[in-house]
Amino acid sequence: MAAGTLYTYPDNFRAAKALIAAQYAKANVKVAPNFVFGETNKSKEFLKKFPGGKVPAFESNDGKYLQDSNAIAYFVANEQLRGRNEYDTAQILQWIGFAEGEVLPAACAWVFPVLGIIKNSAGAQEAFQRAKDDLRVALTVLNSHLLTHTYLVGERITLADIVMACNLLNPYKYTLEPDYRKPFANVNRWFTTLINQPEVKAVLGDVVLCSAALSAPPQEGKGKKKEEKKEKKQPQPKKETPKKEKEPEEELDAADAALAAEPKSRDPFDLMPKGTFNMDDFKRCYSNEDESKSIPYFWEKFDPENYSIWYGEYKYPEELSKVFMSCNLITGMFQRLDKMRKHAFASVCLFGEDNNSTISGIWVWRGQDLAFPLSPDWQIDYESYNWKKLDPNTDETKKLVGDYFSWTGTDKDGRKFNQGKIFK
Amino acid sequence: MVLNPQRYLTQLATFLNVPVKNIKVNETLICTCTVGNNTVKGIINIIISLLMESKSSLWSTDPLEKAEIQQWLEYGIVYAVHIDESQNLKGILSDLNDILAIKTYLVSYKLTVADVLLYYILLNAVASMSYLDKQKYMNVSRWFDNLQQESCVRQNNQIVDFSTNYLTSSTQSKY
Ligand SMILES: N[C@@H](CCC(=O)N[C@@H](CS)C(=O)NCC(=O)O)C(=O)O
Repeated sequence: MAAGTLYTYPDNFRAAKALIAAQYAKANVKVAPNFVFGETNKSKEFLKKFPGGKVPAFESNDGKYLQDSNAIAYFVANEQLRGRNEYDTAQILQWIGFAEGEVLPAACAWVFPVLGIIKNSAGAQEAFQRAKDDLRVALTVLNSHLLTHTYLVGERITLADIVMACNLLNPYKYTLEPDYRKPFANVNRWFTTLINQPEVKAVLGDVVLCSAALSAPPQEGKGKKKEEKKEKKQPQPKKETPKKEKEPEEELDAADAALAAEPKSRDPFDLMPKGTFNMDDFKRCYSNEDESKSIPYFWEKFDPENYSIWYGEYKYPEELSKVFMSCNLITGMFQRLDKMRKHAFASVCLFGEDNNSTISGIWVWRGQDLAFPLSPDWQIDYESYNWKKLDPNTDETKKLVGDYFSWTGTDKDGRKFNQGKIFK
Repeated sequence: MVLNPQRYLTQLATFLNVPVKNIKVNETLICTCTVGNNTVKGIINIIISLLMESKSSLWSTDPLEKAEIQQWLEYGIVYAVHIDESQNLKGILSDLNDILAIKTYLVSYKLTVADVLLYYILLNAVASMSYLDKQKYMNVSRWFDNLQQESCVRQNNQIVDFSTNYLTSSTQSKY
């Protein structure tokens, strides 16, 4: 496997190709520290190894030298990225050719004046207009290919995708504003998928797509350079993301271990004091009587010392499209909480209609803390809800309990009650 | 008619490399089976225990992604399993086609159990789609084709032909 040093200035989209390929191949590619653009790459020593004097340039640990980003990316890649057979590899070369010959010149002619990398002369202005049209032609070709293909070659991510995405990186960040890119839905889908792959994110960080096109500054454009700098700061969160991803995994393992260790049947509520509230009696009353009787009965018998009341609200209402899906979400959760039934009661309601609904409910269980962490069996769903413990002595709680137990009222934004499910 | 869960659960279990036994559907249409040493009740619960058992990357550690995956599983087993009734076919295909217009996979940016389950559920229906329908629901076709290229997902199922040459040449006139 290739290992070595990559010479480049920071945030170079060409260097990114090699660094992403190295992520996929798990190749050990380090970026040369102390590289100064225009100095290091013009030094005698550098020119001896890399006569072109351009970056990125690669020096392998066993003394091989390479220039040109695509060649370096190929060298540090793995089999998946290089194509499974000659035909796939040939197609990859074809798309790399397209990315360099059709996409990049137009992309640079549009992006560089905007970023103030080249001066905005009359000539640049003309090239700038032509670039927008040229890029549109290239994107149209890509768009129809990506209508029927998930990735450019062979239904999996290859160097073709990496090179193309890197050549389109600056346009997507700085100039392809929403209206311009709208007709290219398939390219947008493909590009967003790529920049969100962990291997790509590790190199590029979070890429924010352009929300309004920057236009080329009239003359020198120093202001824009600052903006570029600001945007370049964004990749920072990338260092934290892998850590975050790790934690829940460990939690899961701990839960699994607990699951394996614990005898299946034990009811965690058994360890808590019984108190005076009899859950079964209340449930019987609730099932057989009208709420005008069962709700006063609840308050008369409720034992705040040993039981608690909670409000739980589904965190992702934007994701709820169909009402029937939401109802299944509730009943599915109840099913998974089966063993909690004995000492818990809940009324969970769906408010609103298709594509505009929320889920929330009132829960009562034994003990003062959130019950779900008590058993690994109960942990599938509760993270999808926000939980708030209610003070049983306030009028607000009385009203909430009344509304939810009797299936009346609205959610907090005024959506009408649609359906309710009782956990008992 | 509803698809029998036996087939798609077995395929999913094979893909996840987790042994399941005794898949049964009782009179009240509740499905049970044995995963490892445990008896599990309810299709979603079965799927989730398969995932836990396999430690597969098809599940997620992110709460939002988990929630979305669960919603798709519900969609799959409540709704998409009725795809063999012709009045449902169109609705299901256009639901999916709309979502997949801007997405490569159903949830997040990677393959999850949501895609794989839907693949197994839709298999026969997609295989019997006409070329015209494959073209009409192009995003579903593209998504399905991508899934079936993964041999461990496809297993012994037939490769559905999307003849992309034919499809592209006939769509190009449209675009
Ligand atoms: N085709 C080459 C182009 C490399 C290139 O143009 N690099 C520029 C910076 S992005 C450079 O090093 N310019 C310095 C010079 O021309 O002296 C590649 O993709 O690596």
